[in-house]
Order: sequence, then C-alpha cells, then structure tokens
Amino acid sequence: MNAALLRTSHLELRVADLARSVKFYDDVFGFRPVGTDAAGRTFLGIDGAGEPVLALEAAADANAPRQPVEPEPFIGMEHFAFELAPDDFETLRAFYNRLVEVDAEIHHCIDHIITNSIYFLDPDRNLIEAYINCPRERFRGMEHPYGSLEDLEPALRGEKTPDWMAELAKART
Amino acid sequence: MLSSTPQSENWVPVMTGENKPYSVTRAGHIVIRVRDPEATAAFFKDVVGFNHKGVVQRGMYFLTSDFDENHHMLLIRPAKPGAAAQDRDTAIGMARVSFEMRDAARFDAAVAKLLEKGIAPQLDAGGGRKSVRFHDFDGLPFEFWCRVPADSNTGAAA
Repeated sequence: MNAALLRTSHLELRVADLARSVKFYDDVFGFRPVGTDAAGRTFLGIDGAGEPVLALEAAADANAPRQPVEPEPFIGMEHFAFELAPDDFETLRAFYNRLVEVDAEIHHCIDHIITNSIYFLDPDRNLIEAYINCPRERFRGMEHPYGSLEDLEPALRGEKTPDWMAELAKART
Repeated sequence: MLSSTPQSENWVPVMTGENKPYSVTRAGHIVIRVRDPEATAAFFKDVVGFNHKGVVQRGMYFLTSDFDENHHMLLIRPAKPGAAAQDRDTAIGMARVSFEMRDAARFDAAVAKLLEKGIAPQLDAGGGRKSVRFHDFDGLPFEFWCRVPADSNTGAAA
C-alpha cells in the first residue's frame, strides 16, 4: 500500500513586510507569485509556475514577537528546507554565491551525509535550508544516514574540495 | 561551467533566462522543536501512517512516507530547556506547514484519526481539493490536503 502522505506541499509564513519577503524569495530561489487567496495570502511557485511551495501573509503587527532562532530555545519550526538541482556541489556553490550577492545572512553550512546543506535567514529571521542530495552510495546500508559532519563553508568559498567528495573519489579508484 | 564567484566574468545572473546555475525542485522537509518528540512522532505515525519505520537518531525522529522518494519530510527534535511557543495567531514566523495526501480515502482516514484523538480539525473543500487544518500537541499548525474531482466538493471528510 502506498503511503498516505504524497509530498511536502508548502510552508506558510507570517511576515513583517510582505513586499520585502516576496523580493527576498525571488532573489534567492526564483519564487514568484502564482496567486492569492481570500485571506490575503500570496502564494509563490517555483519560477512563478506550478503548485505553490511557499505562502506569505502580512502580519497584522509588523512588530509582533518572532520566534528565536537556533541555538536559542523555542517550540515551533526550527527550519524549512528546499531541494536544489542539479545534485552537484557546483549547484550549492552557485547558491552560496547568490546568498552572498544578495547579502543574506548565512547561518551555517554542513555535510549531512544524505545532503549538503546551506542554512540561512530570511528577512524575518526564519531559518531556511537549501540542499543538494548526495550520491546514494555514500549512505546505502547505513543505519543512521543523517549526520552533521564537515563545515562546508570553506569548500563553498572554493578553498577546497569537500572531504566526502575526496574520499568518494579515492574509493572509486 | 558555473562561475565560482559572483564577481567572475563567467558569473551568470541566476534568476532569469535559461542559464540558471541552480533551481529549486521542491519543498523538502520541515524540522520542528517539540516538548515530547516521542509522543509527537507517534501522533503523526498514527494519523498518516508514515511507511518508513522512522530513523531515531540522537533523540530526533526522521519521518517520511518513502525514503527513496524523499529521505525525510518531517524531522521532530526535542525543544531545549526553557523553550516556549510564540502566539500562533500573531507571531512572525511559521503560520502553517502543508502536506499533500495521496488520495481522498487516505485523507478521510487521517481526519477520522484526528477526531478520535480529540483534535478539532478545520475542514474545507473547493477548487478540486479538500483540506484539513489542525494543531498538534504543541499548538503547531499543520494542513493536509488532497485532490478530488471538481464536482465532488460537496463537503469535507468525516
């Protein structure tokens, strides 16, 4: 029997400045409006097409409390993740460069075994992850395939090759 | 070949045209911090029956319907001591996270489970889909929805 849940559909965020957030998500991801609803939410789709992956609603009070961000304690969303393609480290480097270009605040960058990930903050200090999937041969048969290993920021700056890529290349020869 | 820095002569502006060096393929997963990860994981497993057994690693529950399709959809982590939730109706931040369900039968079964558990779901239907919104133990807002034939939106499940 197939699973009941088909897919992660979308995230809805309450934001302090709707125009600012719409521009940010266009700048970093290329999300663009695909519609609005009666509640005033703006739905964003990838390249402005297809099913929405993000919905934004303007907060009634732009100065309303915000949830703290890791590593502070809180109950709620820690982060939300979007998948990038193609699955190539150059993809992540390009995305890292884009974050630098638009002056986004990068939180951390990490090798998770199953993914290589960049965590960054949106204008309301929501923690967002962008990731590429790693080759399955890295984690095939692992009981615990989810890890937090190397800090990838030096590799994303182009200073080195990620350790896992060097190790995988060596294992393949 | 992609440029490695925005300043290089090969840098391609990323968000227009056909030469984007990356694209987003989908929404992947959400990570939540909760008071009782074991109870929250059991709740979601019961309501939507994650097929994957769920990897428990360092007190975290990695849940997905199909590991080969998406290695995790929902990651449940323990809140740190002293953690509190913001006002769910006014705070800046997450207003809801939404998952699409495979079909109306599974959707109806999930709604029935929510009702069994004393959760008060907000049901809606229209536009070729029906949805249910609810809050979990920690007051975190979720939505499940499914597609239905356009002429069958006579009401939501259960």
